[in-house]
Amino acid sequence: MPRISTASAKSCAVLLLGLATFGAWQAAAETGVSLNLSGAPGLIDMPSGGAIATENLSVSISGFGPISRSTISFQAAPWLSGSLRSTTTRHWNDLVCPPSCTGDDSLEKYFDRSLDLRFHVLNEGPVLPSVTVGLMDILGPGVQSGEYIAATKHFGEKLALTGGLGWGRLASQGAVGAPFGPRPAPKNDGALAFEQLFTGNVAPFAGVEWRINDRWTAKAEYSSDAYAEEAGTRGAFDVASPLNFGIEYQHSQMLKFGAYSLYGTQIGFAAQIILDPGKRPGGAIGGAGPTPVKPRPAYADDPEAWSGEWITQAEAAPVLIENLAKFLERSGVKIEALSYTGTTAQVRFRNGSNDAEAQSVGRVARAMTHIMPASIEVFEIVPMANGVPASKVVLKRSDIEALEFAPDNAAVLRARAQIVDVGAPMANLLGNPEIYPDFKWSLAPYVRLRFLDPGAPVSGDAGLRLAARYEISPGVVLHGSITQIAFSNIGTSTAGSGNGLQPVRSDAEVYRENGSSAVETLTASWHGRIGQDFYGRVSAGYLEQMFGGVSTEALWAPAGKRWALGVEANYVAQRDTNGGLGFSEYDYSAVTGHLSGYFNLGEGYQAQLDLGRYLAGDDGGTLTLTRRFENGWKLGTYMTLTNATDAKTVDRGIQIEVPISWLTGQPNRTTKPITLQPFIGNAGARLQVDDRLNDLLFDYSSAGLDEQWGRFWK
Amino acid sequence: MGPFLEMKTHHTTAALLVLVALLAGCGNDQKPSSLPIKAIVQAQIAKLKGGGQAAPTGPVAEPDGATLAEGRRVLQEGGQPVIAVTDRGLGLATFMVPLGSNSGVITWANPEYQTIAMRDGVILATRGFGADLMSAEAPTTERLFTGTGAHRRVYYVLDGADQTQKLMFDCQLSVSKNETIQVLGLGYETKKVEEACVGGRGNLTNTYWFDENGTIRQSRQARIPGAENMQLQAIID
Repeated sequence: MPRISTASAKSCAVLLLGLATFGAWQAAAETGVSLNLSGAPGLIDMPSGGAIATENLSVSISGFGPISRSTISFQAAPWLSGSLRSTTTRHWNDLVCPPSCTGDDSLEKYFDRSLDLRFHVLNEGPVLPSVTVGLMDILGPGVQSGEYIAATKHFGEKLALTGGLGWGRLASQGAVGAPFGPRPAPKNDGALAFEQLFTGNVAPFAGVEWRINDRWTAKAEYSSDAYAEEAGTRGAFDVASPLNFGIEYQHSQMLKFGAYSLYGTQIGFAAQIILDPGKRPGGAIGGAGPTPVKPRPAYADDPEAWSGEWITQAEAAPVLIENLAKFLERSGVKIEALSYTGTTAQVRFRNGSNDAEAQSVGRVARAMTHIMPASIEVFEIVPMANGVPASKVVLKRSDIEALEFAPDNAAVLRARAQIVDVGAPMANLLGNPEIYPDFKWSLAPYVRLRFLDPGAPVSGDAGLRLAARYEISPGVVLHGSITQIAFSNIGTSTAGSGNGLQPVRSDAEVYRENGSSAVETLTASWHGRIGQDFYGRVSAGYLEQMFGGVSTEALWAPAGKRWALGVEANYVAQRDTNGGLGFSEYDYSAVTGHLSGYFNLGEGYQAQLDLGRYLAGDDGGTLTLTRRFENGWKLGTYMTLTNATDAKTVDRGIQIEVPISWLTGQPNRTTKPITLQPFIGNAGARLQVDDRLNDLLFDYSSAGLDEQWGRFWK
Repeated sequence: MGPFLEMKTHHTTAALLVLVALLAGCGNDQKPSSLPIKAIVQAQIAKLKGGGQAAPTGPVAEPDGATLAEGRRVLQEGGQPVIAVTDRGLGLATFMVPLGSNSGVITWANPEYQTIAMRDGVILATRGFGADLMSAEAPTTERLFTGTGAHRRVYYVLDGADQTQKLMFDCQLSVSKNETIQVLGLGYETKKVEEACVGGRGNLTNTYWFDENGTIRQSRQARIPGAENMQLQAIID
C-alpha cells in the first residue's frame, strides 16, 4: 500500500500540475499533425515533435505483422497530452514454449496496457522546430517503456523533417552510448519508474513527411526500435531493416488511413480519428425555436390585467398549471408543480428532451410571460431531477421582457439572475396531477462496449433491452430491465482474477454465458432533498448485473460553491450468474462504501476523490478527472489504488460519454449511447448504481447551468 | 373573475394555424385556395436548387402574373402581415407571420417555428435554424435609410460548445442606384442601400431596398456571419 500510494501521488501531481497551469499556454498547436502507429503525433513507428490541437481527442487503431494496437489520446493542454493504449502481440511464445511454458511464456497472445505522457515543450516558430518530450508506458512492467525527445520542422507547406533521440525501447537499434548511466531493471511495482527515465542507451531516429496534396502524404523514417523482445527474443516477426515507408490518405477532416512497409518484412495499416469534442460535427444545435416573450401591457393601458385579485380565485392554480403544461408541451418540458403569492410564482419542471438545462429554464421563463398574471414580477424556476428540486433560478419578469433582444442578452440576464438552493417549499405548492404516477417502458436494442479488454481491443455485447420505470411520487421510483443478448464477442477476460479476491468482476464472461436472458436490474429508489444544500438517495433491489442489495447515499452540495461532499454505504450480495433473482451461487456479501469529494476545477474540469471499501473487500481510493464539455461530452480518466492492486491490476482507464445531440444536432437528453469502459478487475471495483447524486444533480447546479447559459435564449 | 385565467389555446399558435392552412398546398391538400401558394413556393425552391438561375429544365414553371396575384389575394385573406423568406444556403423558401412583438421588435415565424426577430425589417435574432443569431447590435432603419456614414455592428452567436461568441464588424453605408423590384406580383420603386461590413472573421454585405414610404420592402441580410444572406420580402403589411 505505501509504495502504491507514492505512485498515485506522483502521477496525480503530474496531472494536477497540468490542470493548474491550463490556460497559461495560449499558443496554438500546429495543424495537420498526423499520428504514428502508437497513436502519438509522429511518423510511422517513431514519434515527432508535434501535438494535436488542444482538447482534441484521437483514436488510433493500427496493426502490422503480429502486433496490433489501439490507442485513445487526449490533448489536455497545449503542452500536455496523454495516451492509453492496448497492445496485443501474437506468436508471443513461438520461440520459447517449449521449453518454457509458464507465466507470460504460456501465452500465445500477449496483452499489454500502457499509459504515455507527452510534454510539448516548444511550438514551431520561423526558426525553431516544435519539440516534444515523451514518456512511454510510464507505469508498466517495461516491455513498452521508453523515453524520447523529438523535434519537427516544416519547410514550406509540403516538407517536414523530424529528428530525435530515444531511450529504453527506442534505443534498441543503433545506440550511440549511455550518457546518463545504465538503465536499472524494471521493478514492476506499478509505480512511476523515475529512476529509469532517460537512462541506459540512447539512439537517434529520424524521418521525413512529404505532403503530396491535400489528401495524400508520404512518409519515411529510420527507426531506433529493434523490437528486441518481440522480434529478437520471441521471434514473433523478423526485423530486416530499420527503414519504414508509408503513405497516408486524409479521408475527411476527422479520419485518416495509412498503409506502411515496416522493418523490411511487414505490411502495416492504420486508421486515425482526430476529433474535437467541443464542436458538433453538424455545427450548432437545431430544433424548433421558442415562442417569444409576451410583455405585459402598460398599467395605464390595462389596469385590470395588473389586478392581484386573481390570487383569491380558487381554481387559479390548476388552470395555470394546465396552461403552462400545454404551452411547454412542444418544448419537451413538463410542469411538476406550481406555487405563488401575488408577486412571485415558482414553477417546478422536469426537462424531457433538451440537452441544455439552461435552454429549458429559458423556455419556462418565456411560457410564464404568457401565462402568469401581470402582477407576478418574480419567476422562480426550479429544475427537478428524479423528483429532487435541484436548484432555483430566480429571474425578474421585467428583465426577461427588457432583455429579449438586448445585445449579449444571455450574459446580461445572467448577471441579474440568481441561482440558489431551492429553500423550503412555498406554502401552497400544488403538484400537476398529470405527472405522478408516471409509467414508462421501452423495448430497444442496446450495445455494451468495453475498450482495451485483454481479449479484443473493442469487445462487448449487443441485444434487446426491455425496461420499465414507474414513478410513484416525486423521488420514488420502481425500475426494472431485462436483457436478451443477441451478439457478443467477449474475450477471455480473466486478467485481474488473481490476488485470491472474490471474482466480483472477472466472471463477467460467465454472467454473459449463463445469463443470455437476464434480469439486469429491478430496484426501488428514493431521491430527495433532506435540507438546505443536502440531498439523499436510497436504492434497493437488484442494483446491477452482478450485485443486489441496498445502497444509500448523502450529498452536501452548497449552491454556488466549487465543491461537494458525499458519503455512500452499501450492503450487497453477489447475484447468481444465470441472470435470475438468486444469491446462492457465490454466497458472497459485502459492506462497501466511500467518502467522496467533488471539486469543480473550472474550465470544465472536475476532480473526484473516493476513499473507502470496494466490492472485493479491499480498501483504497479512486481519483477521477473529468472534462465536461458544455455540449454534453464527458472524458474521464481515473486511477484506483487499493491494498489488493499491484502493477498488473492497478485499475486505470478512461470513460467517454458522447451525447446523442452532439451527433445529430437535435436536442436530446440521452447521454450514454457511447460509453467506452476499460476492463475492470476485481480489485478496486465499485458497485454500479444508477443516478448517484452528484451525477444526477450537477447539470442543474449553478455551475452546470452556467456552462450552458448561452442556451437560455435558444 | 379576471378574464385572463380561463383556459387558453395560444393565440400565437392560432396565428400560425392560418399559415399552416395556406401552406398546406405544399402537401397533398388540393384546396383551390392553396394552389397558387404551392406554385409560388415550389418555383422559389426550384430556383434555389438551380443555383439562383430560373429553373433550368425542371418541370416547375415560373408562376405567371395571374398565379402571383391569386397568391397575394389568398395571403391577404389571412388577415395578418406576411413576409417571404428565402435562404439558398439552407434551401429554404417560406412565408412567415408575426408570432410576437416586444418593444417594437416583431418575431416572425413559419409553421416549423423557425423565427426571425426584426426591428422595422432589420434582423436582430433568429431561432430554429441551427446556427442562430442569438442577439445583435444593429443600426436602426432610419440610420440605414440615410445611406451614408459608418457604424459598428456586432453579432452574438453560439459556438459548437454553446459559448457566446462576439463578432464585431465595422460597416459603411452607401446608396446604390434606384431599382424597381417585384414582390409577389407587385412592382415597387426603391432606394437601394448597401451596408458593407469588415470584421475579424471576414466581410459581409447587407442590402436593403426602401420603398417610397421608407419601409424596407426587400432585403438581403446575413443571418450569421459566414452564412449566405437571407432574402426577405415584406408581402402583406
